[in-house]
Amino acid sequence: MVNTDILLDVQNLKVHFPIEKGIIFKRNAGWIRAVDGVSFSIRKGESLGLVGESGCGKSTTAMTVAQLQASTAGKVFFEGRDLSLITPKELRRERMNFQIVFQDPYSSLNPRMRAGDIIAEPLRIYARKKIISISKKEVLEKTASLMDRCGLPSSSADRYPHEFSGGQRQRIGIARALSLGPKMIIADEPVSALDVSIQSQILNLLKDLQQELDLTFLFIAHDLAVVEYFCSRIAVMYLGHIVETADSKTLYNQPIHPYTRALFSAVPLSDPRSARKRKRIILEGDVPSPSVVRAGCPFMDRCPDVMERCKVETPTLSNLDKNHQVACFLYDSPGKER
Amino acid sequence: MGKEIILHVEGLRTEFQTERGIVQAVNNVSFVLHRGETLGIVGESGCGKSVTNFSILKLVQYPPGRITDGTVLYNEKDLLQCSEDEIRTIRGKHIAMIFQDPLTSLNPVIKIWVQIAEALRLHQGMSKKDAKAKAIELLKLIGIPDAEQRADNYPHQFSGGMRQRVMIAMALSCNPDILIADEPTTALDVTIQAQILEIIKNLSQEHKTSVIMITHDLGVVAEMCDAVCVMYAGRIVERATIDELFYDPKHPYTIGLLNSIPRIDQDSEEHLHSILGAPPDLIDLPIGCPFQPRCTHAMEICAYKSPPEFSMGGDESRTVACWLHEKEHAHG
Ligand SMILES: Nc1ncnc2c1ncn2[C@@H]1O[C@H](COP(=O)(O)OP(=O)(O)O)[C@@H](O)[C@H]1O
Ligand SMILES: Nc1ncnc2c1ncn2[C@@H]1O[C@H](COP(=O)(O)OP(=O)(O)O)[C@@H](O)[C@H]1O
Ligand SMILES: [Mg+2]
Ligand SMILES: [Mg+2]
Repeated sequence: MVNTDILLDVQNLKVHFPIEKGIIFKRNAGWIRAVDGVSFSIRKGESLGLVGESGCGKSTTAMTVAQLQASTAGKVFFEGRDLSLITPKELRRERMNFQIVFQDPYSSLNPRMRAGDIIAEPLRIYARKKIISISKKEVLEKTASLMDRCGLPSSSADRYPHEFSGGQRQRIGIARALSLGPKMIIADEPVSALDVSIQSQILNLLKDLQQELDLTFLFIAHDLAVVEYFCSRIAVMYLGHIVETADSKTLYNQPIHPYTRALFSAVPLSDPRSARKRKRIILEGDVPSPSVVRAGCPFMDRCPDVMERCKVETPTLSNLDKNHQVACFLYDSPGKER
Repeated sequence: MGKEIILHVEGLRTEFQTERGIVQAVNNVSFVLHRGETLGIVGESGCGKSVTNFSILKLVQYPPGRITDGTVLYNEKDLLQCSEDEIRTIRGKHIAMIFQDPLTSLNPVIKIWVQIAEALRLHQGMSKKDAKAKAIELLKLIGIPDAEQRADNYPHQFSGGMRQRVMIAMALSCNPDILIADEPTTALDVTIQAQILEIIKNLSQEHKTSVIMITHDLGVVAEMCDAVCVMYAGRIVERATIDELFYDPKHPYTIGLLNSIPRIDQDSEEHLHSILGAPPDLIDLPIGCPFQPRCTHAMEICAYKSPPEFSMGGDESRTVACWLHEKEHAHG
């Protein structure tokens, strides 16, 4: 049946948020189609990057995969199990396997808890619920070793989040996410709020942990260079859809979808000579609202290569080769070259 | 080509009185801006970029802030000695500014075109009708679709990128000599950032506007700037032309920063270089070099004596504040 290599399999995921009007009698005035039919899978040990501009549905995808947000349609399989079919109790146990790390180390940590307790909390909760058995002493030992592994001095266990710098707070978030020994980390913009010199410290830590603990990553960022560096495969999102997916090198060297090409060409290069030589594709206009229902390709109004067909039909992901999928009518007929 | 100096900042110091002590936000900063040049000021958050920029236009609020020393020469006039009236004319008309968050600088209850027109009328004494026509023309110029209709919108009806374009339109409406852009694209997505940078680039070339581009993003510097100052803990630690900075960086901090950025074409197997630790607290600055606690090349002197800006081979526009480069400094 299922490919045992696949850890996470997401099929045609949709998440629509109701737009409510009225104060007392709420009525539905439409839907925000935050995620609108997204499919991808992640192999064990792989890191899949999800990129796209703000509002394209990355966080909603992450929250839904992590079972912290209900889906409107579609399925999420973890190690072949359909997470929508299991009981809440089973889900609680399953959750140990996938943990989330958030962007904002300032708001995602409880300001009234000490660092050591923040990191130990998942262990304590799971012990209380008798899902794991671990003694008080073991909790302390485990916390100390997590802190050490994540580069936090053991003397800092008694300090509160505001006493830490942004980078250190992110280390606390990572240590906490690791406490239950997950197989997969869902990292939603884990370094976006950090300065570059600190960002590289955290990226190195995550990379080392991935190797040591054989972790699988769903890694979200809007910084293409970060994703390109961290991930082995990348999926590009636009307006709730995945428009292209390929291994990182291929996507960088041969971006195919007009949006991917524009996105890559818009990234400022930290290299003035290449920056001067490069020809940029400057897109016009803004991303349309995800609440407007319309036919056609999500990218049609900004696409430099838009055709009549794109305005009436929605392209689906099709294989260019086994590692490269694109949803664009320009590449619809097999063997067609650019 | 003789380069005409349009702004000369010398020995600028700005501090803030706080409960915990005095924050030395800007600590003896000097630089020159030439006509038509785009100068980058780059550094990580809290290093004093914005305070430098506010100090230039005397926008530092007292209390808690105070400019304690320095001169800012513009057209042979020291802006820091100007009266409030004088400086107000200069702001907007001669030196314009755009910020990271345009929403805070736009009035939410006034239509977009009215806000642009007000700037035009204030500084150029245009009639209301002319100002409206010019405002719409500016909106078209910066690529707002359906400019005639959108001119009647309020700021919240515009997206972040559109609002930033409006700010640029307003800033450039009076053909200022200098545009100070403080992280103008930091809050925007890359494709929108590319639009905005393109607009600034084109307009500054057409009108020979000098630009001070403040950013934490070395990519933006590489794309936009002719010359650059790297700031660390309230000081300029290195100044260079754009190519010198990227291909022959000297200060250990600059080198560390450049190596920390993941390159889009970098092999993911490699570890990223990183700088140990975090920037210092500007209240308890170390006595020596502010970068010394994080520096892998630190020598004995670095711990107790702050390095001056050594000019490389006598070139005033190529300086490094690091004891390692004392010898390259031409004496005399
Ligand atoms: N809880 C929510 N209720 C209503 N709309 C939401 C909610 N969460 C996200 N959205 C909307 O869904 C879209 C996708 O958001 P998000 O997943 O946060 O995007 P990203 O992380 O890519 O920036 C946006 O238009 C956002 O405003
Ligand atoms: N109003 C203020 N009161 C106290 N400290 C301030 C104030 N404004 C800025 N600072 C401090 O001055 C330093 C430089 O800030 P800023 O110029 O905003 O940095 P950035 O390089 O990120 O623009 C920071 O340490 C900041 O905390
Ligand atoms: Mg998000
Ligand atoms: Mg700033």
